[in-house]
Amino acid sequence: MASNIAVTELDFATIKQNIKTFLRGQSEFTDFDFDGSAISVLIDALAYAAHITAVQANMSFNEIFLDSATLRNSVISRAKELNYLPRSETAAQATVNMVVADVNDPSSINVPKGTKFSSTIDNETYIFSTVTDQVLARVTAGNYAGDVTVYQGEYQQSTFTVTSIIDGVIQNKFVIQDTNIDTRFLTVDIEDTKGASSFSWVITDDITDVSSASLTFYLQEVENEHFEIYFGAGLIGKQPVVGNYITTDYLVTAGVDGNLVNNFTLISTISSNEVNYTPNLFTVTTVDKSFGGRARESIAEIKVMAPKYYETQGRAVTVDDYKVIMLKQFPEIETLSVWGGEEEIPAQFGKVFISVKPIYGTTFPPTTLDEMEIYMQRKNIVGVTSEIVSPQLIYVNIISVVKFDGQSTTQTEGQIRSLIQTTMFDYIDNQSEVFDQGIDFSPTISKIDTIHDSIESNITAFSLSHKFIPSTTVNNDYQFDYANVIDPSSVVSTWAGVDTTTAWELKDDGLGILHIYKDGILFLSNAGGVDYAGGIINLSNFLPDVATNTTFSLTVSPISNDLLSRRRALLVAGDMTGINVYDSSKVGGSFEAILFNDLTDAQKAALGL
Amino acid sequence: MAIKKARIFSDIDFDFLPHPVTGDIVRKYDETAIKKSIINLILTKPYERPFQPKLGSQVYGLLFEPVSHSTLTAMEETVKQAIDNYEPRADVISVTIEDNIVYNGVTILIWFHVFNSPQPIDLTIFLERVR
Repeated sequence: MASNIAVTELDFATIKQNIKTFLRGQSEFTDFDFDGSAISVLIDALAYAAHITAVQANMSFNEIFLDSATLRNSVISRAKELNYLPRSETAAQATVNMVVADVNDPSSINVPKGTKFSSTIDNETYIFSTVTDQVLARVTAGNYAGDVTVYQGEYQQSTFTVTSIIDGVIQNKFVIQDTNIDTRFLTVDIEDTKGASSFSWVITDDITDVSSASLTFYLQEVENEHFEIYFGAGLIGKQPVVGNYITTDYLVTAGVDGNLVNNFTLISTISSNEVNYTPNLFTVTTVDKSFGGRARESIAEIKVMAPKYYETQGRAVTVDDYKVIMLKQFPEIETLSVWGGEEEIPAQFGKVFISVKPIYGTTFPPTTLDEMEIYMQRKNIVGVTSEIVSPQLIYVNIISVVKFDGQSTTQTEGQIRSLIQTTMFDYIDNQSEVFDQGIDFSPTISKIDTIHDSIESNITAFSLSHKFIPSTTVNNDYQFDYANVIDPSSVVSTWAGVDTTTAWELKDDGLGILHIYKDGILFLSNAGGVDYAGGIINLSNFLPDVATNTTFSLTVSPISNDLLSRRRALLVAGDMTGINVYDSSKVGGSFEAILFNDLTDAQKAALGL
Repeated sequence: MAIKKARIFSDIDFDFLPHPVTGDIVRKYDETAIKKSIINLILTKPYERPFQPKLGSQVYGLLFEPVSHSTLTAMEETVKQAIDNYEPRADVISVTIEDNIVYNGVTILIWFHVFNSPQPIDLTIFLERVR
């Protein structure tokens, strides 16, 4: 009889075949190949049992390791070993400006935590709440105004009573039954007995500052996406005792659905200074529409973030440490870039710069940047400070002459041009808006060729622009990082004077000096410098003759076809009006007309024509 | 001297009875083994055996249908198909099914011969409802 049987298979058919192969080594029972035979029935039963056991063992062992676990409960359990708390649903935040008058003329008006606003988008009404007490300052006698930050969601409450402690271990489970809570705004208050005065306990994920008497609680995700609070057992935090009454307040949010909401209406009556202010007394205007709402952390995200977070050991040393800590603490960040001050121009040693971009929009409000900076001060190592900066947007413009066959389509030149411009804007938009992510040239020109069947070829180049609003009252210095080597003699910016008739132009001379021309005549011979290799432009003492709040566009051509991004530079889709088309089927063609009439000299130069 | 006939097919007996002399489990050989195999196939319902949903016959279900000519014909067909598809040792000559009103059941009479053997073999199975 055969002595070996393969035991490593998982599927029924292979296991059955292995058993048959094993039986071929004996002569007592020969009918195993015939499905109706009794021994075939026994083989089926054996193979089925082996299959079930093998699959169960395989799945069980998969769930043991973070890399291979597929069930959320298993993944969060493994992450718990790395002291990693998965991100909960994250409420979108918005900023509104509130204005109110009060003849009593108090020094300020308090907008308490939990004040509610509503807004409707796509026929869905969303409630936003304040998560802290905020103050409307006295602007003039009897008039009050201020920006108030609100978060999407409503406060809910769960209460628990400690009823049993055995061998020093609380037998009760304090599981919050609402699943869509934003744990950032979870508060825990404990009364000795229900109705007694309460004490606020604080959450911690760092036990180094915790003593056995600290009023500290811990949070963990448990089954079915619920969160559970627990305590330090009198070792790493004070232990509640039997009879203690625990009150948890938390924000229940719609997460990502709460983004891009504006037009808020106050729906709470505000009590301040013993005066009740009804909602109709307030004028509420939107300062920043809502952004930053996110879904709870997915299994895939946890698998990536948990080991990385463990690597940081609660302090920021490497670039990855900064990234992981920031992403963990501020889930409203979509992408960020971290670099040392030694890379800055001029170098700033002992500093770490962090540039952040929110999920919606390109910049955070200054108050949020301040919050981030304060948080990171606790994570820096000695001798290093961090600075949070907004991204510097580099607009990617496309200059292109596209040849198409007008005989093969019913679309007009204008329609084809519009189609290409729209498509390429979306294409650049999707390719960029992530730090350290460039745009490759070859896929871009290929993309243009595939936009419409009638398109035959294209000649294309990129240009890069910085946009800024210069002061019209004070001489200022400006520095712009293009993150790419600049082609000499390609820097250009044009604007109209305050009188609207004077034509101003800023250009470089190809030797690194910027000149300003007025109506084509040199006006200022040194307005700044260009570091072509470094991709940096400096404007010195710039005070243009221009209407207030005019947006300037300073455009350059990169030497390389492929575009790079670095540090705070963020490539975004820019001007697509440089895309022109001509119909190759027209006799004589209009190509020359486009070249000499529709394109500027800078565009022709960019295309090498 | 008697010549012992070579046994080609051997199978376990589903009754799992011990041999009265050796104590080993009793085996079925050749023609008997094939007959038991055919009975097993006929009494196996589709989806009964794991991962082999088509194995078996529809006879069980048809026993609960009104006894009519069409039902009996369908039973004959499903029995023949089961043997053709899953018992390659048997070449079916005929399948006849008769209703037995007296004993409240049906009688299945199968004539077949084993491949490479010209001798026709008959197999009679009586099926009755047990509930």
